[in-house]
Amino acid sequence: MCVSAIFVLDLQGKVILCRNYRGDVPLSAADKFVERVVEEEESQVKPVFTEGGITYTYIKHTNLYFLAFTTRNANAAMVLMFLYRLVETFQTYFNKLEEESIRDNFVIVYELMDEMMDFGYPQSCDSQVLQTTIRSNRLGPASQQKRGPQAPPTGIISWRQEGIRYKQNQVFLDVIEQVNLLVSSTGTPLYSEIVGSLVMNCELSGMPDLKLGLNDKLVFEHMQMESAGPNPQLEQARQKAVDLEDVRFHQCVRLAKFDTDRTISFVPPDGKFELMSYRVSKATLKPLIWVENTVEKHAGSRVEFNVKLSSHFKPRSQANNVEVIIPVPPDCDSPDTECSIGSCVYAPERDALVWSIKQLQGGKQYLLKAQLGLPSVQNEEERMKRPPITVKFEIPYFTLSGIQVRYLKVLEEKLNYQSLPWVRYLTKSGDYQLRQADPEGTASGSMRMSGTPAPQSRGVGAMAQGVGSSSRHR
Amino acid sequence: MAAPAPKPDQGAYFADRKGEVNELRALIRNPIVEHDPAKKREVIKRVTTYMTQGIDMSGLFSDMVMSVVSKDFTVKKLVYQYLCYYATVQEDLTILVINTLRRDCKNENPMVRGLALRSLSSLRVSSVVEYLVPHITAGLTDASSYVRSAAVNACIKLFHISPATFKENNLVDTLYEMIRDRDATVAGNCVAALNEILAGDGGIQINRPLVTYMLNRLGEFNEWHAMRVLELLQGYAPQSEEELYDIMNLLEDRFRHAHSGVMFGVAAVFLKFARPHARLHEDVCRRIVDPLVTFLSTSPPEIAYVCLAHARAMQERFPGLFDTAYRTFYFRIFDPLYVKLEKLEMLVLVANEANAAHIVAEVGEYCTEMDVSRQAIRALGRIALRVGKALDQVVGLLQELLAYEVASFAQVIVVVIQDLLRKYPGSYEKFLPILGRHLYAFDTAEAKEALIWILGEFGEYIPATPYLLEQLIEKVSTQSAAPPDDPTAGGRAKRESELKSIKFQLLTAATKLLFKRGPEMQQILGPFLGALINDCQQADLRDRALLIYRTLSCSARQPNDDGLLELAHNVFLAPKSASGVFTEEMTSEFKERIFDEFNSCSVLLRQPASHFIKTVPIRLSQIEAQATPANTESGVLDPYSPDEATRGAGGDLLNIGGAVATAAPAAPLVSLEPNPERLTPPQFQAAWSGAPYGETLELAMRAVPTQTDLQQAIAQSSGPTHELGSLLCLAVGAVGPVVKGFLYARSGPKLLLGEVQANGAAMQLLVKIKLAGGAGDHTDQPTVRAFGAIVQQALGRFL
Repeated sequence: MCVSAIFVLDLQGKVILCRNYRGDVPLSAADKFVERVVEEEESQVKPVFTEGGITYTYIKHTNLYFLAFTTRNANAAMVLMFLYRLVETFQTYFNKLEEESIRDNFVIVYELMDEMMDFGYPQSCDSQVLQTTIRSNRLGPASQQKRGPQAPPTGIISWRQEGIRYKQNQVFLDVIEQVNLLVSSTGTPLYSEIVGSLVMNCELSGMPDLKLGLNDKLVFEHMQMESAGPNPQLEQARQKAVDLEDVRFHQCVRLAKFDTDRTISFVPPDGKFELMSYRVSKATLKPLIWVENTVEKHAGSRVEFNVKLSSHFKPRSQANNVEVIIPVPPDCDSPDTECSIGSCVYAPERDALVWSIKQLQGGKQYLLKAQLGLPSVQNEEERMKRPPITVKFEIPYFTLSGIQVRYLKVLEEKLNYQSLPWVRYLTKSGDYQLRQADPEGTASGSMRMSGTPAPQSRGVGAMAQGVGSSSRHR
Repeated sequence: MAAPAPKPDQGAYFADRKGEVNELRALIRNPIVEHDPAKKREVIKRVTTYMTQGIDMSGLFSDMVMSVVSKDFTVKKLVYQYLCYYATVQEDLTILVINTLRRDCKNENPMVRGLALRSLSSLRVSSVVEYLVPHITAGLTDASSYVRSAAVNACIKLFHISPATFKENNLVDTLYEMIRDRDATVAGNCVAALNEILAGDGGIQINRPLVTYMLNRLGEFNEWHAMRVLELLQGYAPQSEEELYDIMNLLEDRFRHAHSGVMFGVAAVFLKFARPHARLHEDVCRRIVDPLVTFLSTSPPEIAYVCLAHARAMQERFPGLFDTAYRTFYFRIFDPLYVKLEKLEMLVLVANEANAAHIVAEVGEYCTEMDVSRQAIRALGRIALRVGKALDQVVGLLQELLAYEVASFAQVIVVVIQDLLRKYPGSYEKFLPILGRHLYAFDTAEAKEALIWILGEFGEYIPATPYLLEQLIEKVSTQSAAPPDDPTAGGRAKRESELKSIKFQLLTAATKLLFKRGPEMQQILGPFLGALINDCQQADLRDRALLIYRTLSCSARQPNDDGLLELAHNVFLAPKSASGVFTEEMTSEFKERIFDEFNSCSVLLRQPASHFIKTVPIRLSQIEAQATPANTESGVLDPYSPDEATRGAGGDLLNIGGAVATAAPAAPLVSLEPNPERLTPPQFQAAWSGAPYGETLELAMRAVPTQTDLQQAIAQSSGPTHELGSLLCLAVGAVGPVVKGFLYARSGPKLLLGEVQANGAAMQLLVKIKLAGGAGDHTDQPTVRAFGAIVQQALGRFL
């Protein structure tokens, strides 16, 4: 399961650096990687492949490839996770991870690679732990010169050091929900899920023990079982509670305790970390922001878009930084847009209209009208493309699943201080797509590209008609 | 590590590389620099930078050695880095650093001690070995866990540099003790070290107390070490069902670990444990579905790909497992192509009566995405093949796609239609609107052949068939006359074989159609047959044409005899039964075996590890410790016995490469039953072909055995009274100069099979050994090799 060597290459396959942990693969093996990944047809490229007894595993990050070699039947998930951890660690050290930052900081890069892996086996990769041994300029002046290098923390709790002190003890908890949604051209959700994560930033002294209470449905069920008679208050709380699927925790959480009584208790690492993540898949999630697009093609090769946007969340909530990306045919010209809120620009590099709204209130409707000049010639591949509309947004103080933090208790027995817990909620768009319908022509030449249940949907019966009309458009 | 050759393109960056080296040397030696830590650090940094960029800096080795004395920790690290990089090239100079490193190993700062030990053991030169051992031993008992960790890893390195020294120092025992180190990192590294060192001998020895101990400490390990421990647990076989469930219950909560690797590790343990219990095996698979789906939708694409590959292996083994989660496999905007293709595969596999309509509609959307359109269209066809209910919807979509009149679509669609017609010949009417309207001149041979096949089978329903066939025949004849446009020999051969198979296909189709549309086809088939018979270089094609011609003319010569004509009709148009299962859909060995190697690259590459792994682990038990004299004890040993490694099971070979030929003859790791149950030749045959794992010994032969010699040698060398147990001879025979013999033996539930080939011409003796009833993977290796040694011993008089 061990890694023989790790390479960092640029997108052309030129080696930027390499660390040969075991010396059992020739460094020329990197050339094979170039052959197989950089030069091969895209459909043949896979993130794990084997050649000549060497297994190649790689990830791509910005303009870099991180490549691992193994000569054994490695645990693929582990190798990939290690590469991601490497990237993550570099990012905490250099802010932005690119070819230049690696070149500029290669000393630290080497130190890190040396500390994180020994003879192909991952060692401690926790960035907090690493920062006690390796310091970069960005993280303040190298304190090691004064104090000398420190040994990493040892003992039972490997993720937290003893003797951490803060003037003000506080803990920040961000509850972030990401909405992934795919809606068909007829308005029915095809796929919807909420991926939640609780990110904690811990500024607490000593060895605090934390307890987190959520409105998890199972907790209330558990409480109901224990309470003697029927408890209407509890029943009400249970109904509002959230059914979390597949909850996963940071290493620090006592898993056995969670499994017996759903209590989330832990000694947190210092600083920022992801405490837990969960998934809620609702088959019929109503889109928070809905976009309808009617396309009209005019003679003289102009195309007109009528876009209607409606916000389906509570009026007292507000979505920030809304961006609606409406795909348009390629090589359009002379855009002319008009919208009732925000601003709209034509982004030729993305073949799309981008409608940005800084703040969008719930329960409202807005319109966008846009006209574009079409190129006189269109190739057949372009003709068929109907990429979906994508929407980006962030809604603060709101969680779509309804998850809430009931309490966050901090207990430090020795120091016994008061601490401030801060909780924030945020719902944001993940992979949020609204599919556009087949172009369906009418005699006047206008076509609907999307909308609420279109009269002529993609049912089998309607297909023949769809075919006939689309050929008429050519 | 070999010094990387300087890359010319990078070299050009620094116009004068020699100059650089000299300049740096001058700088390092400069007394001003030497006394200014900041400047010194800058210079060393530059050296390391160039080294990374592949510029040869080995010339500075002696100067860098001097710098290692520095008090600056950063400089020390960089110099160590440099030394490890060039140590193998400058082996004689490496001796110079050893003293400094040894001094650093005793430094008061644990970080320096750890680093020095790590570097010392990473030098990969044999001259280090004698100095290394005392520091490893000291490091293993160091007060700092950082140093202990480094020392444990140094053990693996030592093992690779000099297995003999490693063995001599009984480090395996020490490592076994250190599994219980109070520091989790040290313990985790011990597990990894033992696993690697003992890999050749069947891996780390694991018993119940160790398992319990590990399970109790699992929470302490970081994710990487947890994965190693889980890997270790995979090797354990619970003794009772109760214990099995206990362990599984203790591990269950690890499914909630945030790390996908840990989840996979737990899954692998569960699957391994549940394997013998069919019911439980499926339940465990069900338990894994949920976490797998979560990681699939929340992980970066590469991890998602790993999840998909595992999901596919599980779905193939237990169809229906992921059926309800089908929406998870819909494409996302940022999915890279490899994820999309894997998702398409899953969508095909999860399609069932209930969800096919949704899946077909979704896959239909992908057909117009250029990068996946071909695969999506094929997927539609495969869904319709699996789920008959989806046929109408798929045909509708195909028709819609054909209307785009894109050639690349049509080529795939015609192949899909061919497959569908083979499975559902009765539903041909559904395809007629498509076939009637959209028939093109295709580029690919596959599409052409599919079209011709369809025309042959269903030509009576397509009015234009004769004309289409005529065109195709004409085209083929002119093509063969034309000079090949592809000048390469390979390209030409491929084209010719394509052309030939198209001609075969045309011949068959035209003949079939003759009985359906005689008047039109006669005009076409006649000249075609004539051309093939008179002017064709491929004998088989010409023979086929002749055969058809004679059959037809035979029945035509007696126009009054309807029976003959009918006979010909029946021959050419014999009713076919619809294809049931396509070979792609059938169960393969892979589906079952993949669970042995769950959570490894085998699943991703869809082949067992033995196909792509070349590394053979060193067998510690075969290594003779240098200090002790050759141990001649040849008692029967359990290959997994814990002290075997230290006892030294004899043999005087340094079996580093693990080459088969050097498997020691005096190391019987296998005990043969004295009076085994006899095998019949068919039983032997079945066991032989069923045994997955085998090895071959190639031996030089001095004396050529006759058949009787061989039989006697096998029979005499062993027997009920023989210490090795019985080796039985099944049969002997001779083929030309080669005398062959088949032999077998039993060892508990395992059946050991052998084939001996004595080649008198080449003076070579080949022994093929197979093991039936074993684990079927590399863990069989020790047994197979030990048996090989016994056979070798038995045949000793010819060698």
